[in-house]
Amino acid sequence: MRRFSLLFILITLLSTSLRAQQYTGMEGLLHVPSGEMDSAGVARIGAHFICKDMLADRMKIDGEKYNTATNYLSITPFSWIEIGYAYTLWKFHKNMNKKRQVGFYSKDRYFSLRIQPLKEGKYWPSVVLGGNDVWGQKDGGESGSNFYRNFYIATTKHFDYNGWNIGTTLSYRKWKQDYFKKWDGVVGGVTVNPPFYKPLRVIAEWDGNEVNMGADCTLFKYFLLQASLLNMQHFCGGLCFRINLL
Amino acid sequence: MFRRFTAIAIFLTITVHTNAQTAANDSTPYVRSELFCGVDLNYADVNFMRLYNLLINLTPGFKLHVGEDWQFAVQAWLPVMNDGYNKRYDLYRLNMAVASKEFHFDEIKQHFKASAGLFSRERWGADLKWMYPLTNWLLLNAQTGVTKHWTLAADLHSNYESDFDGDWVLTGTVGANVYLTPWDTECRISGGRYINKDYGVQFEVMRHFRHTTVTAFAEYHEKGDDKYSRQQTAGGFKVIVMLPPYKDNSKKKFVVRPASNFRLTYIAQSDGVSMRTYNTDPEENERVLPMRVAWGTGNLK
Repeated sequence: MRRFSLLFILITLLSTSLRAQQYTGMEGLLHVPSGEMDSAGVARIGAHFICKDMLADRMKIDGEKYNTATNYLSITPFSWIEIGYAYTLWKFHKNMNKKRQVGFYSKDRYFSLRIQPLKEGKYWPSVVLGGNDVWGQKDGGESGSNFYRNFYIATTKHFDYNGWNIGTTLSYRKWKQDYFKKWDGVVGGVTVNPPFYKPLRVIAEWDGNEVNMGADCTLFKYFLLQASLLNMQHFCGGLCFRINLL
Repeated sequence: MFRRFTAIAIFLTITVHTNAQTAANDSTPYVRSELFCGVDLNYADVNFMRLYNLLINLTPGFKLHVGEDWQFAVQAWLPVMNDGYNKRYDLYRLNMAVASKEFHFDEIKQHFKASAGLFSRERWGADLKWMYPLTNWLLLNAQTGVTKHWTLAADLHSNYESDFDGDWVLTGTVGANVYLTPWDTECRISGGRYINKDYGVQFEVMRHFRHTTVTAFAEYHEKGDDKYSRQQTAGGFKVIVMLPPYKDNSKKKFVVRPASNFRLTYIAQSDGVSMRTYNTDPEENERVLPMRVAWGTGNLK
């Protein structure tokens, strides 16, 4: 399995370009923010399955983390700004009574924001300043929230090689919560759009702690499907309805 | 108090007839009617141990236009789903029954809309709106109303609600809209007194797309008495989607159609009390001006 994964990364790095940090509903790679922006007027609504390894430490049930999902709604009102609302489903015993059944009875909400001060040019990359969970309750609120608060600066430059569109991303990210510090620092990745099927994008990234692989694909013009392996092992994936309102 | 309302209603009626003779307007010259139905989506995030409280209503309505910018409108709420909201919302409910008349003095750019009847948010009384498009990018507006609580609802099991009690409340807001044409963006600021006798101001930025408007807004209001209204700020976003078929039905005598729009509002830190207002039209929304004024989005579909 590891050999196959390494081969896949190698093929990806040698050949392939970039789209969404889709579990938040925002533009990006898989778990790494990029310097790309969606087209002006694009709105997204969707759901994403995320594996337990991406869960905040506070989100445990009976001491164990669990697989869950995010739902989101986002919009790019202008080509330089993207705003999103998302929540992660949160398991609890019903009414916090340990004798009662477990279910997704709560959620952790957050807003995301991305601003692009510099668009990509012939000789320079695009630059995006952004963050997730940028506004909301402080620690100590009822949910003790801001689990996913992080801020970043991301740059992306695309190259064309014989019809293969190759995107390279280099970002610096800072998380707020200690248990996500493992994802602090310099992160980045490579994406490839093959010439024979442009809607497909293959992604390899380093998120500060592990290597992730995945791909996303636009289907029937309005749907964006993404699947990935976190740390080359744990599946994450989701479906997004994406429409340009202009 | 009822006598006072009656006097207001009579005054409005007289004013309506008087001004109808003089106001320059190009309203449709014959009677026409519209039957429509939409969906009203309410969701509340008020309990940490619930995802959302959810209430969905069908909103059948009927509008009768009798010329000279007169309109009569009635709308009902038919509950489809109630998960977490008060049981009283399981009743079939009359949401609105309103007579309204627009006055357009185009030479001096003054536009008015007077309404009387049963308004939304369980208020009945009289309402007057004013709009003044000062330039092609600046519009001044104001609204005032005197209203009282009402409710009228029933189900098929002999349960019902009927109440026309409470205090008369004088409400009023003034505001300014700025339209930035190159970016199809509109900024609105308004403030005043609202139906729970509270005061506040709101700032809203709106981005208009072809058939959709997305807004972000922030509110600042006075503190309420209960523990849920101690916050003085709130904010959120709204999405207004105009529904197809986007046809101009003004020349047809009778039309059956979907509601003109679907609205979704998300407000964070809402106390559920502050800065509440009512609508005087079953299809009123933030994207389309409440009266026929050629400014900004005009009356976009």
